[in-house]
Order: sequence, then structure tokens, then C-alpha cells
Amino acid sequence: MHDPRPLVAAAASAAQAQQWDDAAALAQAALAIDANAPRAWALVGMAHEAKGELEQARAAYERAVSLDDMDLATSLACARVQARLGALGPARALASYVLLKEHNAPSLRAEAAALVKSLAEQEGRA
Amino acid sequence: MVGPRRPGLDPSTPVVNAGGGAPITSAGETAAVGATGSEPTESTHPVVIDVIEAAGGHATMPVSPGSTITNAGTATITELHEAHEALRNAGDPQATEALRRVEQRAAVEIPIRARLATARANGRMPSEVPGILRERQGRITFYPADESLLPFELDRAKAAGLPRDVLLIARVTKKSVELVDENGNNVKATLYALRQERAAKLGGHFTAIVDLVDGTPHLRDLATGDLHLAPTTLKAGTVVAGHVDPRGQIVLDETIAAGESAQARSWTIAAGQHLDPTFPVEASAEAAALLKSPGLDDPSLVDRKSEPFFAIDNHGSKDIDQAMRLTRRSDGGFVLQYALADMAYAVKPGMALWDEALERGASFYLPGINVPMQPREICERGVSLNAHEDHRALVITVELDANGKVEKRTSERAFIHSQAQLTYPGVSAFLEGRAGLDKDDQGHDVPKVVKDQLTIFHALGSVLQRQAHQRGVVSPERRETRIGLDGSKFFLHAVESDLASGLNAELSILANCAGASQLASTGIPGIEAPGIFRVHPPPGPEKLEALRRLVGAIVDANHAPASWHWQQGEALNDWVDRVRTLPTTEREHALAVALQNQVIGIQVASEYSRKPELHSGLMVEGYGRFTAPMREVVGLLSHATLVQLEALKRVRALGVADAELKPLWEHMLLGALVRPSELSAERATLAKRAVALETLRGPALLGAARALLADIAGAPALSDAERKAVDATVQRAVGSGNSSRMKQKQCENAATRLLFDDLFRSDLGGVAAGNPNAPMREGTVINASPGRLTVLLKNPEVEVKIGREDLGDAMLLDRDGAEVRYTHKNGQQCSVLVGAPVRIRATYHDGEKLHFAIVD
Repeated sequence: MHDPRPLVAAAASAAQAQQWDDAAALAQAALAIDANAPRAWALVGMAHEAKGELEQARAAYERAVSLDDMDLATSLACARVQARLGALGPARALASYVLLKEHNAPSLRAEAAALVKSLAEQEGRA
Repeated sequence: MVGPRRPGLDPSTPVVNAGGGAPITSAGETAAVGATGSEPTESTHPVVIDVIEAAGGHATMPVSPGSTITNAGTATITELHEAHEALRNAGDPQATEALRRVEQRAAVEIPIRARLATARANGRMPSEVPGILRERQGRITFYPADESLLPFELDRAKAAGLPRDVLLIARVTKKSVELVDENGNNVKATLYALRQERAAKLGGHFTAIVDLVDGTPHLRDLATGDLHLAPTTLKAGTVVAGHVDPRGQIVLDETIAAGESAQARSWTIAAGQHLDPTFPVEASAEAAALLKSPGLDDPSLVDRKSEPFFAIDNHGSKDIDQAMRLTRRSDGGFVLQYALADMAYAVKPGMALWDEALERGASFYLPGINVPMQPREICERGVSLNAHEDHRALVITVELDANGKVEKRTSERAFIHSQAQLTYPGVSAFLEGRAGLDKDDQGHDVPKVVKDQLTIFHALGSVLQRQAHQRGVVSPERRETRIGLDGSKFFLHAVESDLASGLNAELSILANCAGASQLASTGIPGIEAPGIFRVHPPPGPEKLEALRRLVGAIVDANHAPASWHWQQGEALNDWVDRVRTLPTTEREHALAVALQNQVIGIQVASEYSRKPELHSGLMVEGYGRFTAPMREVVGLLSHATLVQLEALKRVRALGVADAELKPLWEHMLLGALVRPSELSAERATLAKRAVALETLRGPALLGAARALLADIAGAPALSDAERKAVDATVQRAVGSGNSSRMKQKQCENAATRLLFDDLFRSDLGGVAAGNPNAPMREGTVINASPGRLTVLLKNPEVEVKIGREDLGDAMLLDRDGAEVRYTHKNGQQCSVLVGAPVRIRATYHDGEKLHFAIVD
């Protein structure tokens, strides 16, 4: 059995270049090798998110974070998509989780804090 | 998977000769050396490799289209080649075409620091280390971009094709370090040379585990991993010590642990971390020499042998780092004299023992065994502050007023003669009026002058505990457990919290801070000491606010009274203390444990640092580690530095001007911290004279200092390498210390997995695939993450982690993290609250770990 990581790395390269179709194809190829490769799911989520396919992005991100709950950047991406889809409770819980576990990553912290604040305001209005 | 509730490891059980101890040397039990093939290559730095191997994992950082975080790891050329291999037979034209386009765009450009920072943030270290290859004075060295990792050298021939001074990636596998250049060329810097070098140092001595290779027993060397044919009479799993005789024959000297014993299982864990109890021949000789000449005739030491020092430690402890003497001043203040084993006298740069300390970083503790940083002759006999014997010590003295405010800190080398070796339970029982204290742990009568000090010990410790609370130290309820050994099994036993260990912890913190403060601020203008501090970053306001929301949600979700909330304006430690007092029922107690677990969950690991920043667990700035010099390399270096600083202060007190002290100080540090082989011969001589000033007093000291200063002035200026040598050594100790803590953690995790196998083996009825009738066990959900739940069982009281694969699908956090929702494998929508009771059962064993599922 092959190691999915080279394909995941290639998918990340495609994502870096914002070639989302290529990223998705390579990440899916990685998942064909290991269906529980969290980073591959994260890249699938990114590709869907970039293309505006939010429901698919959410499903892929949620799968990714359930497989690797210390991938805080993906957790935050997941929270952001959940929020856009109106799942305010899960989004806030996940963004808070990022804040609780983060250390030494100021940009991640700032983005998570802003999301939590924004969600609180939305919930207040609701 | 699973983990016991904050287990500790039982360090008290020494390595014993389980097999009877008689050397096995008969011809029938020897075998020819059958070393596995090895190619001679290249040297690498073992610590670097250890750090990375121990960490494993893969640095990741996703690109998020809508995120401000845009850096991503880019595939290396090698990865692209491997990706091609993976797709070769996959019949996936879309992915193949995508890969081709990626290759066309490929740029070997890695946002190094972003990747490493993320890897750290995610609690992992990378398996790939970006860095630069440099050639200086004929040596080719790889410098990792992450400064916390150490450079390592490469073989010239192997590195010939690699470009210098451009970014490369070091990929670390279990057997090699592989450098990949931008053209996809790679070179393997294997560990063989390192192993051979290590084997040579050990002079043919080894500790090994008997391993079956193709059904044939082999000895697997703990240090090198090399395999040798083993006598067929040895059972798999047996741990032996032996040596290779001049004819190349293996001679087994001692059986350390019988095959299939629990001790042997611990040794298997140790082997996984390359922890080796065998010391180089030279180091053992140095240890033996110290026993013959322990430095008890040194006229420069203060004689405190008549003063009633005493030690408190675990029952049966043999490595006694500390002893103390306490007095009460007439104004109600305290004087604490904390004596520490004088390791810096026994172990100096240039000695094999010094190199071992730097390489090992610490002593390691596994169930029933330990792997010491130094040979047992040193840490259990020569240097250990054993009672009823004369010993050298570094005595840190702290004077405090009646409220515990520190008024004065000093340190000195002295002779002491500890008058009692007490135990924590014994002292606790005495202080609580539950028992007398007639005999110490060695069976000697406990003198009245020692017993009288225990009242002061109690008073000072209590004052310091109150101070800690006032500083904001958070003390969640921690029920300590340890893993013990029983025949072939691991078992869990609770450790009763005792008064004395808590009090002594405060005194130890006080001594560590006192030593560190002297290094952080030398009090001499222009003189800086290279201190090492343990730092622990505090949670920021966003994290604390998220915690407040989470615990509030848990309180509400479990319908606890409003009084359980962490109130606005209430200090976190006050709330934690209050929560501990609120429960009146078992259910409420479980909820309180869950709430406190959230506080524990936001803490990050402390680490060694060069800067005296905050240790938020203790709420002190500038927390050093002086109190375990036999068990931590950081303690050894801290002692060596502090001793020299005291000597410099004596020189200053004799009238040498501050402006003249700097060259003296530079040479003192070179002598105290740098191997002479790293210095020019002339510099090494000057450095040796500088450290020797420490033994002089009065006019002799002044004269020697003046003469040395004159010679230093006439010597060539420090070279660039000499100027950096002290920092390099200190940095190496920092890296080694941090690496050792990571290794210790990995050992504990591995021991926990084995413990769980033993605890719950019967639940599965011997069927790894599962037992539908496995008993249900009650517990409480004490934590939730997007990927798993943590359940604290009632009996045994251990933490069990249940992952997504065991729960179902579509796992979601909700209610600010107080609730987990998921779809059960049977399609049912489920919800679990943090703090709520659950019942679980063992489901199957996947060969590595045991799995559990929630029943209801």
C-alpha cells in the first residue's frame, strides 16, 4: 500500500497555487489510498470552499477535524464555513476550541477571536 | 485511545538483576558476533535525530481560501516523485494530469518558519526539517532553520553533490537523515556511523533485548539497534547486559529482566526511545575514580557537617538530590538552607560523563525501571546526598520574613552530613499527629534537632503555599496515579496526596527561583550569566474568555446551580478552588472534575528557555532548575555557572574593578561549560586557571586573579568560535533538556497503552476482535474535542479516549464545546454532554490499542 502523504503534499502545492481542481483531484487520489487522511480531507474542503461549494466543504472539513483535532487551521476553516451556512452554534464551539488549544500562532488566534465575536453578534441579533 | 488519569511512573524501583545476576560466560552460552550489515558513512548529531524521531508526524498547514493564513507546505521534489509512484497503477488520469501541472509549477520554496510554528502550535514536530548546508573549515554542517534544533555534520563524500548555503530539506526517518536538494538529488546520512561511534565508546559493552528475527533469537542493542545472534536458551523479551570479548565473542554478564516480565516490557519501551543504561567505558572509569576521590578534602568549602541537615524523599530513594536545614529567626522570619548534590564538581567539560549528560539530557523513569543520566556510582553513591555520610553540596540559602517575602539569597559550596533520610509519608504522618518519627528510612534514630525543624518546614511551606495562591497559581484537583509492576503485568495504583511533598515542592520552587534570580541578574555591571529557565506561556485573554464560555456552558448543560459559574471578576484560581468545595454528591463531584479538566486542557507544556520569562504554572518569572542536578543536565549547567558566579563575586569583593571582570568571567564560563578540545591549547589553559579561582580565598585568590588577568591580556583575543562556545553548550543543554522531556512523555504514553491492555484484557474475553458481552463500565465525560471524547471511569479511575471511529460519523461540537453530537453507526443521532455520566465498554483491540464505545 502506498503512502498518501506525497499526494497530499502535491495537493497542497496545487492549493498553494490556488489550482483548486488539481488540489481536489490529488487529495481525492490520496483518499483513495487512505480514506482517513485528515489533511487530504482538509484540502478537499479548501477546494470546495474556494469554488463556493459550502455544503461539500463543510462535510470535508468536519471529517478532517474529526480525524485530526489538533489541526487548528482546518478547524478554523471549518468553523468559518459552518458560520456561513448558518450553523452558528457549532461554528462558535469550534472557533472557541481553536482559541482554547492555540498557542504561539497569533494570526490563527486573531481570526478565531474575530469569528467568535462576529458569531456572538449574529446570535444576539437573532 | 486511552490514558490513565494523569499517571506518574514509579521511579523507586531500581533496575535489578531479575535473573539472579551471575555472569553468564560459559562457552555454551556465548555466540559469535553477528552484526548486521552497516555502511560506513556519516555522522549526524544524535540529539537532533532523537528530537525528530521522537516527534514523528508531519508538518502541515492548510491553505484556506478565505483565511488570512495563506502559507502552505509545498511538495518537495522527492514527494512529487513519490506521488507519481503512488499514481502509477491507480488509473486516475485526472490526478495524474493534476500532478503534472503541479510539477511544472513546482518551486522548492518552503515557508519554513510558518511550517515549524504551525507544527509546534499543533503540538507536533516536523519529520522534515528545512535548513541550510554550510561548509566551514572543512566541516559540512546542516543548520536547521529552527534554532531549537541542533546542527549536525555530514560526511564530505555524501554531501559533495549538495549545494551549499541554499535551502534544503532534511527528512528524518527511523534510520537516516535524508537531505533533498532542489534537483531531487538526495543523500542519506545514515545513523550507522553514529552507531559505530557509540558502540566504540561503550567498549563492547551493551544492554540488549532478545528479539526473534525469523524465529531465531537475536540480541538487539538498546544503544545502537544492532543485532547479534543470541544464545538459543534465551527467551524472547529477556533483557541482558553483556560485552564482546577480545575474541569477538559475546559474553552475557547479567540478566536485567526476565522475558515476558513486566520489567522487560518497560525495557522495550525504553528501547523504543533509544534509552540505554550502558555507559561508555571512559565514563564508568570516571565514576569509579570519583568514588575514590570524592573531593572531601577541599579546604575551600565551608564546613557545615555539624549542622542538622536532613532529606525528605520517597521511600527507598537512592538518588538524593536535596537536603535542607531550616531555622526560624527571632523576628519570625525563616532561613532555608537548601543543599543540593554537588554534581558540577563531579562532572566537568572534557569528561565522558559531561558528554553523556549533554546527550541524555535527563534521567528517565518508566514503570519499575529507570535509565539514569549518570552512572549509578555517581547518582546513587558518589554525589547523592545520602544521610549519615559526608558529602559536598551546593547550598542555596534564602532568608525570608515572617510573611515569606524573600530578603536575601546566597549560595556556597559546603560539606554537609545529612542526619536523617525521611520519607514524605513519614513526615506527613508526623506533622498531622498520626505517627511518631523515631527512625529514618535507613533505620537510624531521627535526632530531635531534625524533628524540631519539621515544625518550621510546615510553617514555611504553608506560608509559601499561601503566597502561591496569592500569585494566582491555579491548582486543579489532581489525583495522582502510578503504574506499578505485578509479575508480567502493569497495574495502576493511586498515590495518596501527602502534606510533606506539597510543602517540599514549595521549598524546592523557592530554591530554584533563588538560584535562577542570581543568574538572571548577577548584580555586577556588564556581567551576564548564561542561565537556563523553565518557562510556561500564560493563557491570553481570548483563551481565558473561551474557557469562561466553555465552563459556563458545561454548568448550564448539566443544570448545575448558577453558583457553579466562573463569575466575572473572579480569579481563575479562586474559582477552581471554589469548584472543588461545591460538590455534595458523586454526580456533582464528577462534574467538578470535568470543569477542572477544562482548565488543565488549556495549559501548554513548559519548556526550557534562555530567557527568564514567566512560568505561568507557578506564576513566577525566572524559574530555574537547580534542585535535580543528578537527573537533569540543565541543573548540572546551572550549578556550574552559579559556582563560578560566586567566585567572580569574591574576586570583585577583593577590589578588582568591574571593568576588569569581564575577561575573567568569559574564561570562567569557558572553563566551566566548554570542553577543552573546543578551545585552543592556550585558551584551555587560561580557562582551567579561571575555574580554579573558585577554590581560592583571600590574598591567594586576588593574586591568582590578577596574574590570570595579565596573562589573558597578553593572549590572543577570543576567536569567533570560542566566543560562541558557551552559548552553543548552553543551547545544546536546552535542546537536550526539552528533548528528554518529550522522550519521557512518549515513554509514559507507551506505558499507558500497555497498562490498558492489562487492565481491560479480560473485558474482551481474549478475543481481540471484540466481545459482545464485554462488561459496561461507568464514567463521566470530562472532555470533548472535534475528534474524540475523554471519559473518566469510576473503576479503575482512568481516562479513556473514544475517537470518531468508535463513535460514529458527523461529529460536531456545539454549545461552546460543552456538547458533542454525532451520528451513531446505527444511524441514530446522539448527543453527549461534557460532565455527564456515561457507560462504555471495550469493543476491540486493533493490535496497537484498545477501543471503547459508548453504550448509553
